Amino acid sequence: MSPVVLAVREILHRWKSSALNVIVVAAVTGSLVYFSVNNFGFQKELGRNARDIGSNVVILPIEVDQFAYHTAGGFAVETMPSVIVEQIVEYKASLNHLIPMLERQAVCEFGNNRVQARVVGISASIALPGRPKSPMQKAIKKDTVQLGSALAEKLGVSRDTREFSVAIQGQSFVVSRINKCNGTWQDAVAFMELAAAQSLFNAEEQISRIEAIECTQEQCEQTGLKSDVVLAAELARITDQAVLLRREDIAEARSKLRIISRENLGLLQNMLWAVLAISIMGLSSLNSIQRKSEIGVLQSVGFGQSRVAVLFLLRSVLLTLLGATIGVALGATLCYWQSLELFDSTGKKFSVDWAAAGLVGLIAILMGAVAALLPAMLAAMKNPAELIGRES
Amino acid sequence: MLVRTPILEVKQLTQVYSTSRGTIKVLDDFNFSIAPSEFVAVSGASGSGKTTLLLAGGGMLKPTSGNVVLAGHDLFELSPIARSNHRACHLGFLFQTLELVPYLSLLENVRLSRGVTSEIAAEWLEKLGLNDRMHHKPELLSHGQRQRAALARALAHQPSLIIADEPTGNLDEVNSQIVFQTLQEYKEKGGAVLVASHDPQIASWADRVIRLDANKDESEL
Repeated sequence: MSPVVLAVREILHRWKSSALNVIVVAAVTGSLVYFSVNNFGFQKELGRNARDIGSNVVILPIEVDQFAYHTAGGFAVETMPSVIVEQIVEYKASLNHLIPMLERQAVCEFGNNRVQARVVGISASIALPGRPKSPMQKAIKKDTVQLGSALAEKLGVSRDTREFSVAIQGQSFVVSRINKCNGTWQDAVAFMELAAAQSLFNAEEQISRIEAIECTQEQCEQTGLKSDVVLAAELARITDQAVLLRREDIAEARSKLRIISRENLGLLQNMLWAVLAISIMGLSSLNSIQRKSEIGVLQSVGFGQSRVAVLFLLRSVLLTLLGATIGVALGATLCYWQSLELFDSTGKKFSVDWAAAGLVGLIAILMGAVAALLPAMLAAMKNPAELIGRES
Repeated sequence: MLVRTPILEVKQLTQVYSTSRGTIKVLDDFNFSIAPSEFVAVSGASGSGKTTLLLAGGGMLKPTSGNVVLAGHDLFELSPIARSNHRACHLGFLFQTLELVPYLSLLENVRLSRGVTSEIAAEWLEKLGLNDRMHHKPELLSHGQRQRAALARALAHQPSLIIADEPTGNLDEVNSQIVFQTLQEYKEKGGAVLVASHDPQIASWADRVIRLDANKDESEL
């Protein structure tokens, strides 16, 4: 009789303990799939939220006096060629979501109200090849402006005012939106399309700065260098007309956020793997104790140690296979069901990562085999005299 | 006089067990052999070493010292796999505690023995009065029926030697008779039978009886 048939017959005979085995494996594998697949969604969500913390890299023209720049609240009149943006993209620098801007002080008018304010020409964010493309900054429509809340108040307009225009530097622009107060310098700014600003201020192909998010993790891991060193070196290779400022606090916050979440999820996953291994080992050991006399019978009719071990291994592999399959399906379903609630931003786009789920299932089966190996060996190596003998 | 070559020879067998209180020498320099067509009974009080002798003789328990030669091969000189194969070919076991595999039918249990086909298994079960039970699981049978099925499994592959430990323990008289009768018939066809039993009937079935002494030396470790 083949070992597979024997293993299947034994599984069906002791269906309660087999079912317990399958339930345990399914529960743990399901949890692992749930965490692994959600981890993927979680990382995307985290990336999106980390991105929303704001740009942590500013590239300025080399001529900018940084003392004057900071004294003016992060404003400078110097410009650099906008082609630098394309050079950064071509170089595939360790950056993403590049937002080129042109900034000027200009007179903004609405009715009788005149205000000298910062006007920012801004482009939609530009993703570098191979990096997340979801825009951090959307394009502003041509011939329109968006007003910061404080500037709107100064001009005497509110969010309720409909279909009106403001004059900037004497040119009329439709106000497409009054932004909500966000407590920063952006509340006192008028935003417009970059090209429109370049035309308005006679600064064709010029920009004042580029804001960006650093993506230096890979480079730092490969080279052992710190982010600021990596970025400075890259920019030096790209152009000699710009200088890079790194907002350390934002970069650190983003990095810590990622590391802590990754470590916590990793810890949880490792604990679940340990639970799976211990459960399988415990259940396999119980099974071998339960089958003590059967091992003696098999040994007496010529089953060698390896054949006995194979029987126990097969049992574990078959049950783990079934449990892992159920677990993968359950975990994935649960992920899909909960994704909308768990992830505000990415939930609607959430899809089950079947490769990750499958990998978890595969590892669970391999782990099941490895965890059952020791009890199987111990069962096979039992002294026949202990299984049969009762001194008389 | 015709001298038959022994199927099993136990030479200078010594078995010492270690316990928490010290060591117990169960068998000391024990010699014995059994030839084909011989029915040998082993008797003695509990703890006299009957099961130890049977286990060692069947290659299931490595003795502290001594040799066990089965069908011309010293069992404990063989590798575990070779010993297992040799045992499967030449030995049949019938132990009181050695029950049937619970998830197999009686027929399948008998077929576990090496080289036994369904026809042979069915034949043996029929011979032992289990023809209407051969597709039943052991749990549905009485103790006597299970023991007869175990006997069928021990005999079906036509081993040279049957080793039985208390084969009639907990059996009623009818079932005991069937077991001994079957072993007797097997012996008459050329097989050797080695039985340890407390059953008073045993002496009437056996060609000779080996008596083991229960008074063992116990020494402090």
